[in-house]
Amino acid sequence: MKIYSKYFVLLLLFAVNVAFAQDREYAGGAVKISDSNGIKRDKSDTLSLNDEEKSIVLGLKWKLRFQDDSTFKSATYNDKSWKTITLDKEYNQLKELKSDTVGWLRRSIIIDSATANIPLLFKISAAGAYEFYVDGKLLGTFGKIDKKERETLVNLLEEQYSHQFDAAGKHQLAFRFLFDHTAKLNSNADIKFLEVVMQRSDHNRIKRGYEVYEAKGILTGLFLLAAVIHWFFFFQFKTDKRDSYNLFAFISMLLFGMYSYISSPSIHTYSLDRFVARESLESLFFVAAHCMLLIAVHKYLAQKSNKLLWISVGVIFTFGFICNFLIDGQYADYADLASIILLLGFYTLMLIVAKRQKAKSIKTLLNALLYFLVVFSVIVLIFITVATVSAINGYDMNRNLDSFLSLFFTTILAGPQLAVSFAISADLAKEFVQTNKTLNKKIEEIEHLSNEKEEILTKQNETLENLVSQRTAELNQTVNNLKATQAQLVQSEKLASLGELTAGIAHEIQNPLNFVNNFSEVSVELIDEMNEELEKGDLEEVKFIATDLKQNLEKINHHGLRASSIVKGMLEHSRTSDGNKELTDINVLADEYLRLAYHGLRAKDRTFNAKLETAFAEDLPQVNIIKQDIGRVLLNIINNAFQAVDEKTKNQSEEAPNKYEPCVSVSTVVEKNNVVIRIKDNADGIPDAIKDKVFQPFFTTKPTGKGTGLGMSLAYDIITKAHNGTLTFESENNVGTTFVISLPLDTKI
Amino acid sequence: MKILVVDDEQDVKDLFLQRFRKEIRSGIVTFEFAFSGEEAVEFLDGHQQEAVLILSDINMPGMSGLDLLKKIKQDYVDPPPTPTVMMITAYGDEENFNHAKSLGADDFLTKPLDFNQLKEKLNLTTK
Repeated sequence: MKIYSKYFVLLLLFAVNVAFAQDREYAGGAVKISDSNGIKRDKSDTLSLNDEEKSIVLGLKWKLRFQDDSTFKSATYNDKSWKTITLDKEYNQLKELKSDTVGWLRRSIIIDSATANIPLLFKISAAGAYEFYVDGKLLGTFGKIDKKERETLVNLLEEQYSHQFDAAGKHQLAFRFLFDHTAKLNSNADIKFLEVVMQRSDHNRIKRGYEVYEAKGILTGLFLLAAVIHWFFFFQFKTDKRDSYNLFAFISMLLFGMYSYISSPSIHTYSLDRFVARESLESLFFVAAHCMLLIAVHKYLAQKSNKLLWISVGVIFTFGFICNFLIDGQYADYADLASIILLLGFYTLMLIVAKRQKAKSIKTLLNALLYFLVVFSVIVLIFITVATVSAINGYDMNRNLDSFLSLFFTTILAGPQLAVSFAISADLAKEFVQTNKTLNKKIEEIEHLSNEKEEILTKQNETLENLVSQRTAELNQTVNNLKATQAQLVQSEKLASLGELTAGIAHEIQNPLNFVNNFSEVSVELIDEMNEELEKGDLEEVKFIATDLKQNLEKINHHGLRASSIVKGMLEHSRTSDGNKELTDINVLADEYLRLAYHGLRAKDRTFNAKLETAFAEDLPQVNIIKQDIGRVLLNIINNAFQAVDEKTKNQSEEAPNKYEPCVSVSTVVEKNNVVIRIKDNADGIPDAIKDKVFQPFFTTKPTGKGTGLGMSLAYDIITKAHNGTLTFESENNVGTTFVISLPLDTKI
Repeated sequence: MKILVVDDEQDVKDLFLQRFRKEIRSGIVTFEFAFSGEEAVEFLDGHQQEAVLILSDINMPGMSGLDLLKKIKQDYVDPPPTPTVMMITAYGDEENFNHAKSLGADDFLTKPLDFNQLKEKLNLTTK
């Protein structure tokens, strides 16, 4: 209902407007405002210019004759037989003046005494060439009165001629002229054949029509500004198809701007043809601009059906065309106004249709109407107020009328279009603001979210760190467990090898024990013998026996020490390494473990035998090593060598017995500041497939339970890590394997 | 009676010489010593007929006592008599004993050597 009430107000105001426009008819008889406002007309015979009435339009009581005679200029010539004519009418309406011959116009005026003796100005505009005479004297010419080479000019503004009457009383004005009658002016053209204004030269009233021109200048600016805005919006929203309305609004505003521009000429004089072209272009722009505006509105409303649009455009265009180009009558003056009314009508109609279809953008366009109506109403109210006040006080309001009318018509002519344009722009601006606000809000939300996420991340980080430290602790625990297990494994590896050695060690102990027992027994016998010899008195024999006894005791001691050293070695072997390095004779160590390994195997397997070869370097320097660790390495490698040759022996013994001579050799040598121990066997060699795995922990070729698989791995660690040496092997199929231990001589603790 | 003692321990020589000092002095026995299986074979090649009794340790590097035993029982049969071979070992277990027996060992002694027992056996064998 609110919207319909708006329509009602709208229509009411337009009714007022139309009524007012008709009321204005008395003042000049045309929509054009320039020819009557604020200027006194020559209704009385006596013309008087004073402080209040400063100018008079001389439009009535002219005498016309199409005949060329120089006497016509004379003040005394009697022109009573001439045709009387009123010049106030526009070009198209003065058919009497349409002729291709030179003619004369005369007007007699009576000047009062007050008007005489003051400087006057005659302001003349004309659609053609003329000579202006006052009291028979030529006051001024415009153009060239020449039928053949005539240059038809239209003086849109005015020429000014100064004159001062020497006395009060009757005076004669005369024009010899050749007007252009061929121009087919469009009906809306603001052209008169001849306009004459007499005014006091001290009257500083601005020139005729300038208010309009100035207003139109401002309008041009406004329209172009609107055009620029729409152009900008069009480019901003180019991607959105709907926003093509900005393109049409742009075109419309541009056309309006161009219309405004060309309808405010900056020069006085045009050729009439050019003037006509200008007028036609002006009308065309005006109509086209309206059509474009409707298209823009249509697009803005995003209407699917084009029917109403085409009807509107068609009607406005046809109407404009008819008014401006076809109708040659006084109603032509209403063309512009009617265009506006049509525009508003169709505009309203489009809004109603859109409202029914519940289009979204109606509000903006209704606002446009409201903007316009508010401005329009304010102007009308001001005008009515001023007019009323003037009427009550008895002022002639003509003097202020110009400005009001100018503003009024400008508003009607340009208001709706600008209102629509600015409403749409305002709406877009609002959208921008809205978008901006939404964006800011979004940004805030995003910031908020990112803060939250950061917090979450921080929390997660903390949780992760906790987890990591927890896991690390668990891992450390596991590592410790592993270390413990490893230590246990190493211990069990030691025990395993000790088990292997037990038999060998037993044998090794038996040998010295054999000597200890037997030498002590034989020594007892020797002492008995010695006693016998002492009784006999054979001191020579006693001395001899004593020497033997001493020798035996030394041997007992020696073999006792030997047994204890074997026990000590066994204990050392099983004891956890304390990691203390000591200078060691590698030859002794290698020999000891070679024997241990050999006897160990022999103890287990009586049939086992192998040739032992040793090639120990003489004067081998002592090496700083952890003795029991290196011993364990040697034992491991030697054991493996023995087992390898034993295996080969057993495999071959059936087919070709005795052909194979198992042999294990141990050699030491100094090479490049290293003591190198080589343990060589002549067994089958290590298969290529397991060469890479030899030093891997838990790798063993022995049956399950027989070997820990740690021996070689530990050996590798002992040599490379603890002693900074190298442990390598060379193995050839069916030839044998050589393990090479290289220990640096300059290892410091 | 000539006895060849084979052992890789050097002190065996002194021990035997002292333990049998009376017998040696009275000329009942004479001793020869070899410190490895190979050395024993070398000696036997040169004095085949002289050695009547061979006492050999089993555990020796290189040629073991069992190898020596095997060789003697195979290679020194002609001319007879085949030398008597007694095996001495620190491992007094049955497996070793049986193995030596199967190779033709005439007797089996364990370390530490009981010389009284050995002397008894020598008297037995020399009878």
